[in-house]
Amino acid sequence: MNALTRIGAIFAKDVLVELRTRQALLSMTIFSLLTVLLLAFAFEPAAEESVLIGPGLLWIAFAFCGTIGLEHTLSLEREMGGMEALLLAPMDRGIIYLAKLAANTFFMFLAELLTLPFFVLFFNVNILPVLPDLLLLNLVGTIGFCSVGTLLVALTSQTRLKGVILPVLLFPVIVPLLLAAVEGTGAILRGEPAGTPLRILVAFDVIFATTAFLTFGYALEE
Amino acid sequence: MKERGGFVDSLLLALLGVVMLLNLYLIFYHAPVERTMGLVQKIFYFHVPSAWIAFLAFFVVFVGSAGYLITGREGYDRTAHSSAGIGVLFCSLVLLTGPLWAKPVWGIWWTWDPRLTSTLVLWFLYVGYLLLRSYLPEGPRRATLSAILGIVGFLDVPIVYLSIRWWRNQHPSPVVGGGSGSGLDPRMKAVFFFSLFAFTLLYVVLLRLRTRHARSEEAARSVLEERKRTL
Repeated sequence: MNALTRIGAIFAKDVLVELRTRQALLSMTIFSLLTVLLLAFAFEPAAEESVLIGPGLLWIAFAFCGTIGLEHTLSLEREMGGMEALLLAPMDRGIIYLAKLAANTFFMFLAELLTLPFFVLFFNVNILPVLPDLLLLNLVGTIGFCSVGTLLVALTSQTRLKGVILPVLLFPVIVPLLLAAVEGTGAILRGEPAGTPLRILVAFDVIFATTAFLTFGYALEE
Repeated sequence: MKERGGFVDSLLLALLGVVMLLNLYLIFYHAPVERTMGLVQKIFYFHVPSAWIAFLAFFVVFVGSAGYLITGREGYDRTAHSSAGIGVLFCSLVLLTGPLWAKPVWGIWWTWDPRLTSTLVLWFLYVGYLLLRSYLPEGPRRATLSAILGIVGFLDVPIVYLSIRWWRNQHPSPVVGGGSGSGLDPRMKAVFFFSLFAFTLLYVVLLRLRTRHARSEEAARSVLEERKRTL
């Protein structure tokens, strides 16, 4: 088995478990929608303001829903001792990281996809003509979010407080990612190219995915 | 049990006392009073060196963290932890002295300038580091996990700065006392560099004392555990 099939195997397992239980994705999506709703109530944007504050609002919702999702994929392994089995498998620990990264990205991206129609509905922003660009940027941003998040949740899940401290550690690290994502989304919604933000996001993805790939093995329990 | 380095520490501490007093004298009597800002500008000699110490301290956290992951030696972890505490302290000082200086000069406490904003993000990053440590039981697990965060945090610093500079730069960069030699009086410059030296010495002394403290704490704990076993 080469690396890719191993990643695929763990990924497929996570997706299968999720399809059977439907726990994480549902609560992630609902939470993301609720955040959009709350922010819309809080700011009451007029039509022309929606394009201005929409991107920030959307990414705050994504960041919140992503944070719950991260907690889920790892606790899944802990409950039934799946982590021991994974650690026993004769493979690099980095493989486990990449598989978890893929699963986290997949769920978060799905939740984002389910949030977008409601965003359009609530804010009356037409995203159809720019949909491919928008989805690409979302995907790249989501990979970046999860590349840091997957590593950090492995750290925080070993503390006494678990879920409480994850956002405290994660949010400062993703400040540049959030800035670039918001800026890029704004540019796309205005119909401009999102070249620089997209490049920053790709750089962020590469830097943190590499760092996490190298250090993830240390983070897992021996 | 003989404590290593005690003599060097006392010597450094004495030297630090002299240097710090001299530094204060230079700042308040030797350096000329700035023409437009007046006495307030004296805060520059504390503000910028504090920022330098914060950055140095966080860099040491990174080196200590990487050192620990590579070698697994406790000393690296102790250094990283001690340095993170000092870094957060000086970063807080930067964030406190900054508004104190900005209010009379710019007329506002805070501006979303890239330097200010990234210092704030930096503060959050390393407070997170200290929080993570406080929620983990002592031992090699804590050292490993915090080392990973120490590396991630430091890698984030340049990206934070660049990203903020690219997009959140609607405010003009401060021209005054940028420290980049922009029309700084030679006497001011000399005093500034002396202050930088004094603060660096302060950092070295604090780091040595803190790591020694951590070492003695661990030694004391192991003695206690030994007693518990034999009882």
